[in-house]
Amino acid sequence: MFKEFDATRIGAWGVRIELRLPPDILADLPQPIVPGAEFGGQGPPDAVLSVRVNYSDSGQPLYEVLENGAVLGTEVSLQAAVWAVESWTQLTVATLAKELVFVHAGVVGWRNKAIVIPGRSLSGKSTLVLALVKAGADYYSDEYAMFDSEGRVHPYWRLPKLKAASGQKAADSSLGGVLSGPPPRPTPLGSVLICRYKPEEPRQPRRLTCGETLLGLLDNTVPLRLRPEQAVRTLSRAVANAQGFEAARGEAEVFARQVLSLFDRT
Amino acid sequence: MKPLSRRNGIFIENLPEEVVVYDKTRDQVHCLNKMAATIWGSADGTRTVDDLARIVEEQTGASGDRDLVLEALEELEKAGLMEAGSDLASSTDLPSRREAVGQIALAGSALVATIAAAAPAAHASIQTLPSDPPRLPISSNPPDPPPTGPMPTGPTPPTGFKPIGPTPPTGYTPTGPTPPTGYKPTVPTPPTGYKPTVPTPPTGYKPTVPTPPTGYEPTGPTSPGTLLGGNKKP
Repeated sequence: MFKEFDATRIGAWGVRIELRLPPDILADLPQPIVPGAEFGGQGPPDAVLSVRVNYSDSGQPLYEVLENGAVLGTEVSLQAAVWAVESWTQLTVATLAKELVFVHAGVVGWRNKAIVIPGRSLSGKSTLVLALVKAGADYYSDEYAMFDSEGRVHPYWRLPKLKAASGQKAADSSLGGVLSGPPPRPTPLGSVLICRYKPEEPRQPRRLTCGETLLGLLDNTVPLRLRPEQAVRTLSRAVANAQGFEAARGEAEVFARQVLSLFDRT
Repeated sequence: MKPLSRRNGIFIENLPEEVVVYDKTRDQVHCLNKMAATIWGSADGTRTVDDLARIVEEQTGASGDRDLVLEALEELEKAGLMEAGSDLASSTDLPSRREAVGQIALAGSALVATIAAAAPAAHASIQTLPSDPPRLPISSNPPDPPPTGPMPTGPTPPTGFKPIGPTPPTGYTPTGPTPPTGYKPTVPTPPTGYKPTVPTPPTGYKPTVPTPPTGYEPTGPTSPGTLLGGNKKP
């Protein structure tokens, strides 16, 4: 029989989550666990995330992460378990939030508009986001672009995470000073940059049609299957006055300068 | 042959020069270029291929080439956007692949771009280490301290457990399935991404508005676009 831990409630973007975690995991989670979250909240939760701890014969703890009783995965270290809980909690909010459409993407601000870089995990978007910030853009997010019904992009205010040598992601503190201040205001979408890291054959950005740009966003839209009408409508409104590009990039810092220069010209 | 476009289980979003079609039955999203959108919107089961070619020419300004129309119909059928019985794939009218591709290249665009609508779990950032499941017998957990209050119920919920909150929207599944014995967690494989096309809009194109499916009612966000209130950082 597994020990069940005390419940901790958080609420973020209209989603109520109950966390049942060992104290050592709870203590190591970043605060807030989800950008914009607050503790507490009334009413039944929309999802329950829990961790149960097994021990191998050698006494090594094994951390099973569950959502609503279904096992999401097993981690063999406390650090990995902390990251797993953080990641799944954020994904659950991205999935269930009804007022905003979450797109898996990095976001920076440039000339009072958002540049959105959609892409799955480990596609290099965090690296490119940091390079764009270094070249003068404003940091918004390295994980999710949150679109409201008017098509504006909201900041996902947390430290960017880069893949460490261990293979796990770790927070990059280079923007710690920026994140200590208030997040930037929601901003209209200016550009979508669909980009793959291909240093062996970089390719200059190619202009996309409105439909291709929209498909690029939808391909990375978390709740697309659950609320397709909302997702398609919201994002088509967002791309109506935006431009889309597709590119294969080499080193991020060189590419970032080229891209910002391109956006200034178009 | 009088092709009929499929309207059940889909909804449409019109863009300035293209049409995006979401197929709920297949969880796919298609982007139709102007020609494909015009053909699909006009294929009502009463028009022949020649009729459609004439409509394409009238409404898009592009060449009303019959072979191109047939190619477009074949692409639409492959995308699942035509009603069964259009029988386009076996039509002897279809041009040779080389001819059609050459003509499409001249037309300057591909017809239908498609992506699969990924489930939420496909966006997981976690790369769970492929670990063996706990080996039996498992050492018992460290002894619990004496309870100081009501104890929560303990056992793992049975298969089919639903969250104790509001009923999720239809079609929502937890972001992880109940694994079978010996489950080894793997990284979800993202769906195949779309391949962007290079459309060149013809001059003078006037986009048409395909007729929405019968009974279709547009839906949208339930409230104005305001930030969620009350969420302060802990």
